[in-house]
This record gives sequence, structure tokens and C-alpha cells, in this order.
Amino acid sequence: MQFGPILRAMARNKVRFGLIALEIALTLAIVTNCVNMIRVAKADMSQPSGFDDDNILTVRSQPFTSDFREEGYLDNAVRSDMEVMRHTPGVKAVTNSRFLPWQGGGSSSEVRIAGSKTEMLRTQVYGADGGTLDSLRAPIIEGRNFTQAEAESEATRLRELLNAARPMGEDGKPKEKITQDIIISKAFAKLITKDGNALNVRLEDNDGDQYRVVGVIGRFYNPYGWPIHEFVMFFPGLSRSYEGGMQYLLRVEPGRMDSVKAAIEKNLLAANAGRNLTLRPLSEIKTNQLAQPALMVRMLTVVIFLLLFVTCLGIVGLTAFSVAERTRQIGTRRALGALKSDILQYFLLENWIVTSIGLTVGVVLTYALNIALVTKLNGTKLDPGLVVMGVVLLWAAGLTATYFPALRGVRVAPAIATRNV
Amino acid sequence: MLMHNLVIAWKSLKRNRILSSLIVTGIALGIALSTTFATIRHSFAKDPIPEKSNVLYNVRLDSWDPLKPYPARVPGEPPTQITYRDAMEIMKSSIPLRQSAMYKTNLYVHPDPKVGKPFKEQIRACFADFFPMFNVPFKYGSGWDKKGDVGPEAVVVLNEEMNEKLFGGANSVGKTVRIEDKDFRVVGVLGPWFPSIKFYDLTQNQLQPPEKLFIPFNHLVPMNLRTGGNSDGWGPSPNLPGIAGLLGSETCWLQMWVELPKKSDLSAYQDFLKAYAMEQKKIGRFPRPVNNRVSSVKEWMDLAGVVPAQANALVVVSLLFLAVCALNLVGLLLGKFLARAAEIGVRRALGASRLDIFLQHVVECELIGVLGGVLGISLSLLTLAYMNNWMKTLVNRTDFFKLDAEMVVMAVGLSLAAGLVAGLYPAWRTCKLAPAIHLKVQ
Amino acid sequence: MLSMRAIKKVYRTDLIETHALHDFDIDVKTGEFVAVMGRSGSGKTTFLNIAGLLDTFDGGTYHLDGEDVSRLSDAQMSRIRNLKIGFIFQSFNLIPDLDVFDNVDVPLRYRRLPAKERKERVERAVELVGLSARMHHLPSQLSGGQQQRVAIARVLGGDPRLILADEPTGNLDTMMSREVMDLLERINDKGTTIVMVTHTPECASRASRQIHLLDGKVVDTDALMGAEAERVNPTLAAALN
Repeated sequence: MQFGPILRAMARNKVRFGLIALEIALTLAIVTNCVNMIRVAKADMSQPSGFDDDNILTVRSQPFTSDFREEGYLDNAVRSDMEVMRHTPGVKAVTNSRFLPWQGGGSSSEVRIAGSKTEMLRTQVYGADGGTLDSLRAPIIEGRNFTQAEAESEATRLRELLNAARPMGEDGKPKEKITQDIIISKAFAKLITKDGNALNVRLEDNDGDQYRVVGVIGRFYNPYGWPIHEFVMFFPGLSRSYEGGMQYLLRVEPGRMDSVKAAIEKNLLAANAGRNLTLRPLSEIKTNQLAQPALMVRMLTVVIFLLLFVTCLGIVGLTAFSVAERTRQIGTRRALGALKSDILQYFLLENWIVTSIGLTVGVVLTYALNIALVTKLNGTKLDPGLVVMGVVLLWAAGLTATYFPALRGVRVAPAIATRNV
Repeated sequence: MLMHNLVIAWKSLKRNRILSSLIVTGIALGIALSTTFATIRHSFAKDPIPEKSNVLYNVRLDSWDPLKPYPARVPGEPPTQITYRDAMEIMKSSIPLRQSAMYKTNLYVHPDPKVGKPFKEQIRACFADFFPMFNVPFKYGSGWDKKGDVGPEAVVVLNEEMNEKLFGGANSVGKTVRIEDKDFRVVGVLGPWFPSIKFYDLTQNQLQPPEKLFIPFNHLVPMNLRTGGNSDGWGPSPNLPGIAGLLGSETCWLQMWVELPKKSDLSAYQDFLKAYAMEQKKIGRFPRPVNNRVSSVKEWMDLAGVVPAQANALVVVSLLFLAVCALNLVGLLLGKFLARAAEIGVRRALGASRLDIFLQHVVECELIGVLGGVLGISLSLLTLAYMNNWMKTLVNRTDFFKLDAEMVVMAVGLSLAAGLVAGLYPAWRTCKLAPAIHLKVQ
Repeated sequence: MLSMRAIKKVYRTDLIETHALHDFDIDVKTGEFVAVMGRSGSGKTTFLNIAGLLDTFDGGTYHLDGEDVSRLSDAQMSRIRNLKIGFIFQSFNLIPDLDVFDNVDVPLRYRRLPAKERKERVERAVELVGLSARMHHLPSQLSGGQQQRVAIARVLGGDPRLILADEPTGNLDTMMSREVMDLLERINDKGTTIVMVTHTPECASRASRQIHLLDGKVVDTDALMGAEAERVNPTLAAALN
């Protein structure tokens, strides 16, 4: 092969070829790290929540007439709201719960196995009534669900307890402990027990109050400020107050979101006009929550394509100059018997050498940039497979970008050699 | 000579339009991306209150759990907010020129029924110092005075938008606004006030505009208000129900700001806080090592992570992208210039010195840089408009990403630098060409 | 005007050294019109490059217009080219982007002349070559002869003491060659020294003296004699120059 002559010819143009090699090296480093960032963002975005996101309608009811300050009125209003919604055609399940998936936060608490001295473990915690899991479509996989009666009686019990001061013991904690039944996610079950067998396990919180696991649900994912996205603890209760208002989650029949939404708004206001309503499909909340990673993905994709474009432009330019400069030489070679394919091969080989040198340097740069991103800017480590893909991609891009300008070299007529000396 | 060189450069660019537009596009893309991403970053990072940021300080105290530190974004930092009992105690200090603890609360505003239905609104509860401390502009009236804090008087300050909504934009000072079941007298209407981020409360959505209504802090107890922001607690729950439990608890939920005009005030105030923490230790509070923070606006923004890590990563990526564009430009210019060896030979024969040739080509590179810069800045205006449109759906703001003077200067500087850096080597190579070689054969 | 003594020029590559000129002596007096002839490779172009300060040399001395130009910096050589020397090339070497006016203007700009004077000089020079009507045409819009006349105007605008012409008619047909040679003669008549490299005897015959080069040396007897005379009596030779 003609490796030797090509290398010697390149050595005479070190700077020009060096530039392209460096450009390719940087391109590899940037593209690979961008793809890595895209993968991370995509992974965040494609996490299934475990709920029927597309068919859940969220309803916030914010009362402003002072009747609602009275507990009895409030309870009746909620009961009548639930009836109204349940009887609206297209509604499959209704719940009154503070839990709002995909809003990027919620409430959390710390618990541990009762009586143990281990570290407190943080988990999301929400009240649930008899219809909560059905509305989310997050089925029980072990144990049992709450009943509506259970939720209502627990709500009353807690309300009474919290409306008065709890007598304190020596340790600064309430003397009288409460015990509640809870439902947790499988992920949290695995966190608190080694074997994930959490049914009937008792947990305690900072007050010494206890929680007994009566049910376990499978998938649960709700992005949170702390890394507790998959951990949850539901306790039976109702979520309503004058100040905080009420929130309902409705599961509707697929495809009927819009009509159900309009009907619910109308029916609820007809039942009680002393409040403001906000109705949003859960999919809208989810889209908003994921807007930032989605935008990030879009921007990085643009960066990658522009970068490949610019780099190919550089290779095209270099090859074009290379061909123009060597027109006479090519003619001479052709006159001496070189085939068209020999000329094409010459340029492709030349580019392949430059690209390969660039990619070798590029792999080092890629990891250097990744280390910088990981240590300084919260980045994620690279998968070596990505680097390999980047290398293959740039090899292909390099050869493609060489091919077309090199064809011009191929078309040089042998007669050039003898013209105009 | 400069003008002449510019003319030569322009003609040279026109000679090969395709190549020239590719070259200019290449650099324009680099400038567009780096300007866009730098502006995005800058929009978060820029000083939201430049005229006073050197005298304003956010105050935090570590009253957290003895068993484990507060799970702060930056390890070792105390909670992001402070407790009610601490706020009330440190507010007694006379060292700060101005100071205010504050919180936001969600309350029903009941407009005149002719105007519309009641609506829930975020309201900031703060002390009288809030307005002069943060240089909040007034259109009508003013903030309340210190007597208003103590009472507390039922007074309210509206922003322009709220005044428009409730009173059609008229001077409403002296009129009444019903909030929940209480009537508030309007004492002031704000002028336009749009800090780039809601710097005085970074605990929740930092990009949201300031609240539209402001009432005295001390309505907290009589109105039984609850915070509409985050509250972080530890240990056993308070043993009193409702607001009473909150006031005596270790729950952190208030933002605290002080204005300290002199550096000596700052150290005096830090000493005061330290003494306070030591005092509290005696009654069994502040179980952790003393860890008070009096942070400047910038420090506080850094700690609160106002600039998303991705914004920084994108700036790094876009600068590397620009570097690739510049490298690309070096290669293309080298080819372009060397292809022009014959013309340069003629010019040299006609008496052009190396410097003449060098300058001619540097000017050409700068022209490319400037053209690329102009195109790039225009492109970045488009991308920023797209970004703003996207922001509108998230926080209802359309002005967040702004290409301000600082960013334009940076973009122009980057273009000139890119042109220069990319042009130096090709121009140098070109001016070193031996004049004789290329004259003979064309 | 131009005096070279024992000039040596060697082109080196990795493998071979080529002696383009060695022991090269030549004298051209002010006001002379000298034709330099010789076969391909005899050193004509090397001589012209050195004479025009476009190339350096490896040994010997070169006096141009009484000034020793053997050890000048690049910038100084540029200055002398600009002020004292005018080039005419076989392939015209006009700058394709510039129209007639701007092409003639190029060396004047490098001389940093004020705009008004440049304009006067350009217009006068273009008029002298009879192309005033074509002032704003681009080179590509002109015939070969016209292009060469623009190149001559470019020389005239600078008002040089010495014109170096490299095969000025090499790319022109007979008619146009004659026009160009007429023009050169007229310039010479006004006192400008011309050194012209040429292949064609017809052109050479227009010169007042012919010098032949062979293998990097002057073989012309006249020139040799001139050189001898100077060696014998440098003072006299200098006076003659």
C-alpha cells in the first residue's frame, strides 16, 4: 500500500492535517459526552410512574366561602363532590388525596423498623382513601387495600388527636403512641427489609408513632427533591381543609378526557359554587415536569448535528484544497497509469489516517471532558460503548465527507499533466 | 489602509460565495450556540439587584437535629430557612440598618363582586424594611411604617398588575382590599419591579416573579396563616396544634435578610449571631456545632443552586463547539489564503511588505468573524425567543432570557477573538510566502 | 543602475543542490534597455527575481541604483520594490477582483500616498497606455494585450527607476506584442531603465543591448567588457552609472 508516501506527504503539511485531527478529536469528545447527557435525561424522562398517567384528571377545589371552615360542612361538601364525580359518565374511579404525581415534590417523613436503632429512612408519605390506588391504577401486589370506611374513621381519629396538645413524656415525645396501617411501595419494602418481605412489619417515626405495613404496591415513581422517587408510604385518611382546599384524582375512560373534564367542572360548580376549581389532566402536569430534560435533549441534539455538520464541512474543505493543490500531480499519476480507484483510495486513505489520529486523541479528550463534567458539573460517567459508537460514527462521517470532494480529484484528466508547463 | 483592507477582504469573500458562506456559517453557528447558552446561564447567574447586592445578606442558623446534619444541597450548609423563634430573637439586633424575616402565604383575595370572583393568591408577609431594603419602586404611596409591623395594621401593598386587576390601575391608596375575612387598607402600589430571579426567596420556584400583594409579617398569629413555601422540620412533632405548635417548634420556614452597609457591621453581626447561638446552647437548643451563615446575594444564589448544572454544562459544550468552529476556520482559511499565493506574490512584487500582507489577511479574518458574529447573534435571538416561549408555559414569564448589553459585548468579543485566533496562523503563513515563487506560472 | 558581482544562488533540496547562478556578474547602466536571453534553466528567472529583490542570494554583491542591497531586511526590500522597481510579467498578474483603476492603484497604496495624488497618478498612467475608457473594467473583461497594458500602467503609476519584464509578450499574439514593445520603447525613451527577459529574437532586437545566459553565467561579450572596465576603473564605471 501507499502508506509511506501518504504519511510523508502529510508530514509536510503537519499543521493543516493536525488541525483536522484536533477538530475530529474535539468533535468526538463533545458528541460522546452530549449523547451521554441525552441518555441520562432520556432515562429520567422515560421512567414509568406506575400510574395510568394518560387517563388521570386532577381536580383542585379551593373554597372561599367561610361555610367551608366548619368541619361538618367541609366533610359533606367532599362527600357530595365525590358522588357527583363518581356519577359523571366516563369516570372509572375517584379519590380525595393530597398525592399529586409528577409535580416534582410532595411530602415526606422519616421512619425505621420499630424498636431498632438503625438510621431513619426518608420516604414520601401521603394520605389515601379507599379509591386512591384504583384511581392511580397502582394495584396491590401483597396484602390488602384500605377501605373507604377505614379512611374516614382514621381521618376522624387523627383530627381529634391533632386538634389538642398531645401530652409529652420525659423524652420530649408524645406519651401516647398512635398506630396506623400503611401501604408502601415494593422499592421501599426492599429498602427497609433485606428480603423485601415487609408485610406486617412495624415502623416508627420520630414521635415514636407506629405504622404497620398491611399492603404493598408494585411500581411507584414520583420525582422528588431528594432521591426518594420510588419510596412511598400511604396512610388511610382524608385530605381536606379550608386553607389547603381539596384535591381529587379521577381515572377516566381512555379517550374521554376532554368531555369528562368539561362535565366535571360544570357538575361540581352546580353542586357548590363557593370555590374555585382547577382541572388539569395529569399528562399536562407530567409534560411540564419533564419540560426541562426534554428541552435539554432537544438542545443537545441540535448541538450534535451542528457539530457533525461543521466538522464534515472542515473535512470537505480540507479535501477540496488537497485535491485542487494536487491537480497536476493527480494528472501526472494518471498519465503514469494510476486508475481512478487508486486516486480515490489515496484521498480516502489520507483522510482515514487523519481521522484515526484524531480519534485516538479524541478518546483521551472524551474521558478528560467526562471527568471534568462528572467532578465539576454533576455529570454522569460514560459508557465505553458510547465511545466506540462515536468513533465508528466519526470514521463513517470522515470517509463520507472525503468521498465527494475526492471524486473531483478522480475526474482530473491525465492531460492536465502536459498542459501549460 | 484599514478601509482599503476591508474592501479587499469583502471582494475576496465575494469571489467564492459558496466557500465564504460556509466559512461564515461555521463561525456563526459557533457564536450562536455559545451566545445562546451563555445568555441562558447569565439569565440565572446575573446579579438580580446590582445596586445593593454588596450590602444585602441572607441569614441562616444551624438549629438542626443533633443526630445528623441538614440534608443541604451543599454538604455542611445549615437549613435554607430559619425557625420562627430564632427569627424573632435575631430581629431584635440593632446592627443591621434594615432587616426582615418573611414568608409567603396563599390567601383568598375577595375583589369587589363587580370585578370578579374571589381568587387564591400568593402573598408575601414581611416587615416594613422589606421595601427600602430591596429598593422596591413605588408608583403610588409607599410601604407601611414600623408601627404597621407592630400592630399589625391591616395594610397591604399591591403590585402594578394586582392594582390593575382590582382597581383598574387607578391610584388605590386608601382603598380597601378584602383578604380572607379581613379588610386591608392599600398604602402603596408598586412600580415595575422585575428582578431576574426571586432572589429574596430561593426556596421554591426561583424564576417566578415577586408576589403581587404584601402584608405585615405579624398577621401570622391573628390570621392563623400558614406558609405557602417549604418548611423543613426534624425530631418530634410540636405538641401544640396549629399555629401555636409551629411557633415554638424547630421547623425552619422563614427567610431572613439584613442590610449591612459597612464591612464592620458584617463582622459585628456575625459576632452577634455567634453569641446568640452560644446562648441558645445553654437552654439545650442549637445542638450542632455553631454554623451560622450571613451570605451575600451571590453566595446565597450559588448555594441555592440557582444556575442549573446543565446550564453550565451547555456553556462548556458550546465553547468547545466554538473551538471546533475556529479550528475549522483555520483549516479553511489556510487553504483559501494559500490558494491565493499568486496574488500575494504580485502584491509583494509591487512593494507590499510582509506586515501589509499580514494585516490584509487578519482584516479579512476579522471581517469573517464580525459577519459570523452578526449572523450568530441574530440566530441566538431566535433561539432565545424560542426559549422564552418555552418559559412562558412553565412560569408565565416571557422576558427571562434576555440578550443584554453584557452578553452582546461578550458575543462580539467572542466573534472578534474567534476571527483573530483562527486567522493569525493562516495570515502568518501567507505573509511568509516567498514572493518570487508564484509569479511565473498561473 | 544595476550591478551584480560574483552573485551565487543555490537551490537546495534534501538530495541535490542546483547552482542556478554562480559567479554571476552583470551591469546595466541607467537608461539602458537590456534584453536577457537564454534557454530554459539558464538562470534567467533567478536573475530577474534577484534583480527585483524578490529572492535572496547566497554570495556576491548587488548594487541597485548605487545602493548595496545585499543585506536588506524583508521590509526594506519591499520598500525598494515599491519605490524603484516595476514588474511586468508574462501572465500579467493583475488582481482579478480589482478593476483597472484599483489594479494600478495597488502599489501606490503600499506607498501610502494620499488619495488625491494616487488618483492623479493612476489616471495619467492609464491614459499613457490608452485605456482611459476602460478604467472600471475587470481584468477578465479585457483582452490579453489590454491586460498587459494595464500591468504597464501599474508600473508607470509608480514612476520606477527600473522596469523588470519577464517575457512580457509571451502570452500575446504578434499584433499585441508589437503594441506592448512599442510602449516599452517609449517608456525607455523617457529614461527609464528596462531589463527584459525574453525568448523571442524579434523582441530582443528592440533592446539596446542583449545579454545571453548559459548555465547560470553571462556569456555576452558586451556585458563582460563592461564588467572588465569597471574592475579596471571602478570610479569611472560609477561615474558612468
